[in-house]
Amino acid sequence: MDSFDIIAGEMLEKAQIAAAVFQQLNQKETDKIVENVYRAGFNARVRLAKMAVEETGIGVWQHKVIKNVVASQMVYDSIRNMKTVGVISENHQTGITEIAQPLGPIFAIIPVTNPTATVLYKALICLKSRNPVIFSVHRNAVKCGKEAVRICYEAAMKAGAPDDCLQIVTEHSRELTHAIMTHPGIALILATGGTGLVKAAYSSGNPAIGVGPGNVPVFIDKSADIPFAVESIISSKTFDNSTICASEQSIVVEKRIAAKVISEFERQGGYFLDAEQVKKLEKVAIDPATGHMNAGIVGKPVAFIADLAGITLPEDTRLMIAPLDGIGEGYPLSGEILAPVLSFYSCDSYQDAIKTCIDLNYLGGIGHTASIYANDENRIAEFARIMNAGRIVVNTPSAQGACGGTLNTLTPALTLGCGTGGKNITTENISANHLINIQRVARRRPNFNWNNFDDSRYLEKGFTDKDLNSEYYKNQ
Amino acid sequence: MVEFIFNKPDNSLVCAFKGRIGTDVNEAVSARLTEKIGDCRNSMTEPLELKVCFDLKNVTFIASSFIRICIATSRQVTAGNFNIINAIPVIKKTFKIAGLDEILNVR
Repeated sequence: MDSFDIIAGEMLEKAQIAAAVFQQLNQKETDKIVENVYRAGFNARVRLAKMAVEETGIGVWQHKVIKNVVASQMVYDSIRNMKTVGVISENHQTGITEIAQPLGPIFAIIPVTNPTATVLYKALICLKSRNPVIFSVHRNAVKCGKEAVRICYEAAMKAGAPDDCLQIVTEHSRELTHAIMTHPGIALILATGGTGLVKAAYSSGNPAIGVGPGNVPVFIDKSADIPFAVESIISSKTFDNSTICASEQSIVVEKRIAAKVISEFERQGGYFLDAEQVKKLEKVAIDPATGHMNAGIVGKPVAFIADLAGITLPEDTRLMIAPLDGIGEGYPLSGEILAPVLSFYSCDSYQDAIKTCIDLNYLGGIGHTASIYANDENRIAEFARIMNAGRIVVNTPSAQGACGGTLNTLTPALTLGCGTGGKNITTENISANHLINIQRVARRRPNFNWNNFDDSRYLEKGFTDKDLNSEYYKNQ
Repeated sequence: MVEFIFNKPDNSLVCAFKGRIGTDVNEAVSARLTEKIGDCRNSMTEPLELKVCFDLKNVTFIASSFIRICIATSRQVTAGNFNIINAIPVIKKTFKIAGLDEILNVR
């Protein structure tokens, strides 16, 4: 056994004792802990936001405050009345009673892009479901992540939570992460982060909910209110310098409205790059070795990225837009870029535009999020049917919209299920209800058809489905 | 909270706990227990033969620190000389989930 296995074993031993003690608590005791953690997290929102930006150099502190608000206030509002302990539903007619049980120790991986908000969010939903957590915060966000965990832990302990209900990995290495991920004592991995990490979580042999990259296409239909759409897109794409994986990546329009959309973007601070500038931006935005975005530009201001690329921007530029005529290989900017950079597609027809959205959706963003601006219900319905996305946000900033709580009634979350396309078991926004095992107590209830049917008929070779219809399903 | 019964003929100390053993009471319990184990050993001719039994018949909740007391106590006596008896089902399940029911000989 190497030192990583020993550290993992010690942490898991504590987590398992915490899980054991936690399962004795009732709903009221659990809710008291959750409320205390929410209050502490909410009250620390500004300090944690500033710490996160200072340490990571990513994003905008004022926007990180809003993320901390979503992760504390909005998440708490959505779970405060949720039943997560004991009998959570009882149906006398069906005879089914549902009982919630905790999962056990959860390994929560925290990304550098939203470190403190993700700690607050995961702490709340895990504690609400009586699961202890081992946090692993990205190596570039250790200080603020630790502080967020400390605040949550102290608040939880004051309210009667078990010792070690929240722990944090203090040593960062792939080996230790692997040792914890693969430990048989882990009940679930909640992985939010890069592709490699999410893949590792799924390969661990333990259950995992892993949410990796998105590649959100935005279709602006001819029926859309264009100035409103552009304002909404810019407010989302520049929010925290685009660090939310549900933020817009590509704008797709029909040629007939392209000029109007371009002019509106330009009026509101969008800067359209020429072909030469697109090449320059590609070089700094994409790592040629991996084909993925360069970590050095994630969550950086537009001026910083332009400087890096050697592009001169007008002073009031809010984001750069790269007009492209292809997707995938040869078009590096058509993939996910968590920075104030959009790609732009002008398509010959509506059909072409939707096909472009499909290609973008399937370029690394399957199951995640798609966005449409339209006032034609048929167009919205068709777009929603065609996209493979857990969330289709309509006339809404996609970053804030997909995370729920503020602009729609989606469950507030910082881990967004992406369905089987994203190798998830759900397309829902992850909350406390996903972190419980539901036991079903099934009382005997007579099946009228079964009781009135002579089951020896099944043994007769000549008994067909037609006979079944006339005998089994009769007298309905 | 806890009552000690030392049965000298068979060198066994029974610790009968009562109620909710939360974090707040564990420090006091731990100190009394250490003192009592010392007293028992002092009165024995074969101190290493001391058997300790925790009777949890009347215990409704245990905190993490009580589990640590169980582990620490089990290490103070010879292997096999510590056991936990009369645990109600929820307490039995607590030791089971913690992976300690066999090590601590929970019955």
